[in-house]
Amino acid sequence: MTGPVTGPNKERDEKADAFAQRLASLEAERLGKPAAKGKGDMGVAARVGVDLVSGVLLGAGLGYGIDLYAGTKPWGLIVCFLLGAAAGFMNVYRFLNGQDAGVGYRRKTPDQQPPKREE
Amino acid sequence: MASPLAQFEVHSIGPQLSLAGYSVPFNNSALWMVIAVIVATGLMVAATARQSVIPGRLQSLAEVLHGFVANMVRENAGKEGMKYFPFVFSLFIFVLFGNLLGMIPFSFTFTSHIIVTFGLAATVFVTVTVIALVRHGTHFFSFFLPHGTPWWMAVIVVPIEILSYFARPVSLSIRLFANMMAGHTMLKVFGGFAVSLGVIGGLAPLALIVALTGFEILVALLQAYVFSILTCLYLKDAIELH
Repeated sequence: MTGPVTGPNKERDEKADAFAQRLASLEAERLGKPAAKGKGDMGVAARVGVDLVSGVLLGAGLGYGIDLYAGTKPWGLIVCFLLGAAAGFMNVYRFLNGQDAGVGYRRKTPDQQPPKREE
Repeated sequence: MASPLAQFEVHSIGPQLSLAGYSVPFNNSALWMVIAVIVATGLMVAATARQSVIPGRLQSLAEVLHGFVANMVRENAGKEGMKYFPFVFSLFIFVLFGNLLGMIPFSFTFTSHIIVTFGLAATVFVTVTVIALVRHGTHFFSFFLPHGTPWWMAVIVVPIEILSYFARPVSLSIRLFANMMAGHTMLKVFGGFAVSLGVIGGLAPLALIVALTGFEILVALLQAYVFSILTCLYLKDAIELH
């Protein structure tokens, strides 16, 4: 019986294919592979803007406070403002590099791969 | 006409309470927080009251919420992070219900006040820092010196890293508060246009309000999601410490 595949057989094959696809995607998810995540451009823009501003705000506030208590009038504000701006830029740089929130993120060298997630 | 910012006014409700000499009034912001907690708890209790294998509408809503947050924690904080799932779930639900209940006309959006969002962000910040300190002890402070920094750069890198660590709660709180406040102000501003331009001219702003309301609901969901996903990322940092 070697006719063209028709009827229930073909249908079964299609079902098996769909099942295999679903299994593969679930398997990939289980192994923690990054699913294709669509970070909306607007979300990125909002995050970057807020991150930049918050660093500067924190630095300026801290500097102002130090000046108020230590009486070092302009210097605390100037230094902390610059440090805060740098911190803001650093957060944005990390986020855009896909290193996300990590402060003090270690650069991944080939011999220093993160341990595989265990199941 | 009322100012577009009148919706953010906090006023006390009920008797004047005081604690240790300070007046601690119960205000409309607190009232809506209580409502959010009651609605969220009520929903979850009602949804899990009659557990069936084939979930009804309420039960599948609760299951979807639970599954969504559980997936988010597992993907972003790892398997270890699932220990802190109740924390993230409570935060997510509280912010989500605060945002969504705020979309009801004449209600109060407590997430549009920076002190509320900062309180939430500070809770996250303190919790995450305590978890990191408990898990890693003094090794935690190596967090502030990136691997491979030359020693003479440490003088400038360490303050920057410390500042960028402390910028987390600031950006976390500003993001939520600014999004909610900006959106609700915008709605009220266009509402003012719709009223003052009359029956015919007001149709254009009215159409815009319809679109903006849909957009605001999207923002309400998105910001609750962003708030909790960042909490997960911070938790991951605390657990793994790179």
